[in-house]
Amino acid sequence: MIHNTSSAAASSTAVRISIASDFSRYPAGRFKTDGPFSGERFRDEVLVPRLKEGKKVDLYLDGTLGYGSSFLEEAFGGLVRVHGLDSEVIDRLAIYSSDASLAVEIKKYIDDAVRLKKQR
Amino acid sequence: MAEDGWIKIIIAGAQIVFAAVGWKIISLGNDKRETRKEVRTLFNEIRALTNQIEAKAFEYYLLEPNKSGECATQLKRLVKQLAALATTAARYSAKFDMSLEVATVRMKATGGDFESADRKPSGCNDLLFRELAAAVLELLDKCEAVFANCYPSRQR
Repeated sequence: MIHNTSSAAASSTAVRISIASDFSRYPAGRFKTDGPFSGERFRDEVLVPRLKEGKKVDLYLDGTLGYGSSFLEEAFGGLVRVHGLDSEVIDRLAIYSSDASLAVEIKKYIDDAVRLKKQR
Repeated sequence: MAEDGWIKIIIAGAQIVFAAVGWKIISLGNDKRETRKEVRTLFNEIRALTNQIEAKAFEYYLLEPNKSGECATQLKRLVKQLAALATTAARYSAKFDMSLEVATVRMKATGGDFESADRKPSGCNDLLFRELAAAVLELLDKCEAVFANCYPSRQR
C-alpha cells in the first residue's frame, strides 16, 4: 500500500492523484473551516470519491510545500474514522512519496483508526 | 628463457600485484574516510535544522491563528527539509533510516490543532514543546548512535 517513489512502479490501471497538481501545492489545516485546502476537504472531495469508484488509487505526495500532521491525520485517519472505509478499500490505495517518513506517518494514522474502530 | 629471467618476471608481476592491492586498500580507506565526513556533515545539518524547527514551533504556537500563517508555512518547510536530509542519509546505509523519528518530529511540531482556525495560543511552558524536544532528542540520539556504530573512533 505504501511505496517510496523510487520503489514499485505504479499500476497502469489505477487512478492517479497528485495532491500537488490535483488539489493544492499548499495543503493546510484539518477541517474545511480551517481553510480551502484542508485534510477534510481533500479526503471528502478527492480521495473518498475515487476510492468508492472501486478502482485502485495511486496517490502521489511529492511537489507540495510540505504537510502538517493535522492535514495528514484528518485526510487518512479520517478514511476509517469518519467514512468507515474497511481494509479492502484502504488496500486499493497506493501511496508514493520520496519522503519515507510521510508513508510511515500515514500508515500509523490508518492503523490507529482501524484499531480504534475494532475496539468499539 | 633462462631460469633467472622467469624469476625476474615473477618478481615484477608480484610487485605489480602488491602495488595494485596496496592502492586498492588505501583507496578503500580514503573512500570510507570521505563517506564518514559526508555523513558527519549531514548529521550536523540535521542537528542545526532541528534547532530551527524547535524555535519556529515555539514562535508559531505562541501566535494567534490569524497571525501565524507564514510561520506555519515556514515550519512545514523546515520539517520537509529535515525529511529530505534524512532520506539522503538513508541512501548511505539502511542503518541510517530515520523515517520513524522524523515522522514523530513532524507529528509533535505540526499535529493536533496545527493550522486550526480555532487554535488558542500556547503558553511558554506548554507540554507540546517538551514533547517536541523529546522527539528531536530521539532523532539526534539515533543519528549519533548509528554514526558511532558505523564509524567507531579509534581508542587512544
